[in-house]
Amino acid sequence: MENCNMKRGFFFLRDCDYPAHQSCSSCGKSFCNEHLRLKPGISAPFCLDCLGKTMQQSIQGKDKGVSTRDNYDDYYYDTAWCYGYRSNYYSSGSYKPWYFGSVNADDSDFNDSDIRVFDAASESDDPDAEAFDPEANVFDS
Amino acid sequence: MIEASQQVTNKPAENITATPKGLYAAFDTFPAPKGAAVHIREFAQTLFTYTGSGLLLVLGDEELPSWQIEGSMQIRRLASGEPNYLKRAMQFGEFVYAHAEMLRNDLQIAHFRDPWGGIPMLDVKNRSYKTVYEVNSLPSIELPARYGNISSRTCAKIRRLEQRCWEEADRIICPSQVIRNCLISLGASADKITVIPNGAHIIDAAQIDIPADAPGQYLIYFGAVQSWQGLEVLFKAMTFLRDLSELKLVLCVSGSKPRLKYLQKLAARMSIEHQLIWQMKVPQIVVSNWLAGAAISVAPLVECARNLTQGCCPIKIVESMAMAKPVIASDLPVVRELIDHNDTGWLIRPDRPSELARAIRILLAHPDECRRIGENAQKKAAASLTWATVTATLAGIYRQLTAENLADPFQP
Ligand SMILES: [Zn+2]
Ligand SMILES: [Zn+2]
Repeated sequence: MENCNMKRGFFFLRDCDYPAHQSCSSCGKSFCNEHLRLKPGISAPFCLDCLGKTMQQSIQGKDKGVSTRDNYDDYYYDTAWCYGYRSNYYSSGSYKPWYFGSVNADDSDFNDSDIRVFDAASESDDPDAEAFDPEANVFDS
Repeated sequence: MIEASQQVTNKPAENITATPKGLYAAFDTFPAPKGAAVHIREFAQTLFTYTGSGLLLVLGDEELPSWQIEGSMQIRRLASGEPNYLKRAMQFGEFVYAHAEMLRNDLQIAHFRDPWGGIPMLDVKNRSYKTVYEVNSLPSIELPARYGNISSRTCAKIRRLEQRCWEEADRIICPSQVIRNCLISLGASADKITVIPNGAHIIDAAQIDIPADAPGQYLIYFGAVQSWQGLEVLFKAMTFLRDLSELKLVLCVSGSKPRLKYLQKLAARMSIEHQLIWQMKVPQIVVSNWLAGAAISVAPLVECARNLTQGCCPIKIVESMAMAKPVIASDLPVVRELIDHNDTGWLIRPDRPSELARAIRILLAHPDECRRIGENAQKKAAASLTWATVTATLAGIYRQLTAENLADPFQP
C-alpha cells in the first residue's frame, strides 16, 4: 500500500512516511492511522486536513444562519476533535467586534470604506518583498 | 520536533491529543521562507516547551495542511481565500476567538504578534490565561506603505486596536530599544516591555565552502531590497571604488520583480555592473557560502521614519556578526543596539555614499583590524544574540506570568 499523504513537521514540512491504512472519506486520499480520525456519528475516517477545513466552514455556515449546533455538540465534546468549535462558541454568537458592514454603527469599527482600500488590487508594493523564495531563507540554518 | 509514535492498530486514533496550555497566534503564513517565520518557530517552540503543550494558529494556503498534530502541539491554519487584507484579518480574528474562547479555562499563556490575533484573545471573557504581545512592527505604520489609499481615519482605527493590545496585554516584547521607545512614547507602560533581540546561529566561516567562482576580494549585501535598505547609497559608494579593480560586491538579494529590475537598471546607469555579482533568490545555504568568503558585510540602512521610529532588528547584521564578519552599517539607533563602532562593527553616517566608500577602503587596507572586529562581533553574538539566549529571556517572562497567575487566581 502507498504511503500516508499527510505532511508532517513543524518548520520543514515533509511527507509522512508511514504506510497508509485507510482512505479519507472526504478527499479520498490514503493516510496512516495517526492522521485519520473517526468522525462521530458517521464512524467513517476523515483526515486531519479535511476535518480542519470542515470546522472552518462550519464557522462560515454559522454566519449564514445555518444551525449546526446540535449536529456538532457530539463532535465538539469529543476530544478527538481536538478542541473544535464547541457549542458554547456557537451559542455565544459569532465574534465580530470590529465590523459593522456599511452602517457606521460605531466610530471605532471598520466600515466598508475602511475595507475597500485593502483590496489586493490597491496594494502598491509586493507584500512579500521582504520574503525569500522557498529554500532561499537566509534566516534559517 | 517531537514525533508521536506510530500507532499500529486498525482503527484511526482517538483522544490522543493533549489539551493545549499555550496558544500562539500569528497573522502570517507558517512555515514560510521569511524572517517572521523564524520568530514564530523560535517563540512558539519556547512557549510550548514551557507549557508542555500548545496550539499554533496561523494562516495557511492550499499546500499547507489545515490541521497538524505534532506530539503535544497542534498547528491550525486558516486557509482563507479572501483577497482583501482587512477582511482576511477579521476572519483570522474570528478563528482565533473561537479557539481562545473554547480553551479559556485550559490555557495558561496566550501569545500574539498582531492586533488581529490579539484583540480576540483579549476579548475572551472569564479567561484564565495571561497574554504576551510580541511587537515586531505596527500595522498602523507598515500598512500605509503597502496600501497607499488608507485614510487617516482608518489608520486611527487600527492604532486604537494596537493601543488596546499594548494597554491590555500582561507583557510586551519587542526586538529593539527603538520600538520599545516608540511604544512608550505612544503611552505603553515601560515596565511591562522587554527587548528581546533577534537571534542567530554562531557559525565558523572556516568550516564553510566558499563558492568556487567567488572572486578574490568581495563585499556582501544580503537580504531584501526595499527602499529603506539603502542599496542606492551602496551603489553610489561603489562608483567611488572603481580604482579597486579586484573588488566586487556580491548581492544575495530577493524582492519584488520591479524593484530588482529597477536596481539592475540603476547599476547599469551608474556603470558599476562589472563590479557587481548578482545572486538573486538563491537558497540560504548559498547565501551562507557567499557570506563565509566575504571581506566585509554592508548594511547601509537609510535614515527614514520607518528605521528611526518603528525600528527593526536587522537580521543581516546579526547573521554577519555570528559568522565573525565585520559589518559596516549606518549609524542608527537600531544598529547601535547591536554594534559598537570600531569594536563589534563599523558605523557610518547614513545616506552618505562617500563616507561608506571611505569606510570600506579603510577596513580593506587593515585586514588585522577587520579580523579583530569580526571576532569581537562573533563574541558579542555568542554572548547575547543566539536563539538560545533570547528564548531563555522569553521563557523567563512566561515563568513570571504563570507565577502571577498562581498568586492571584481570580485575575484574568
Ligand atoms: Zn481528507
Ligand atoms: Zn501519516
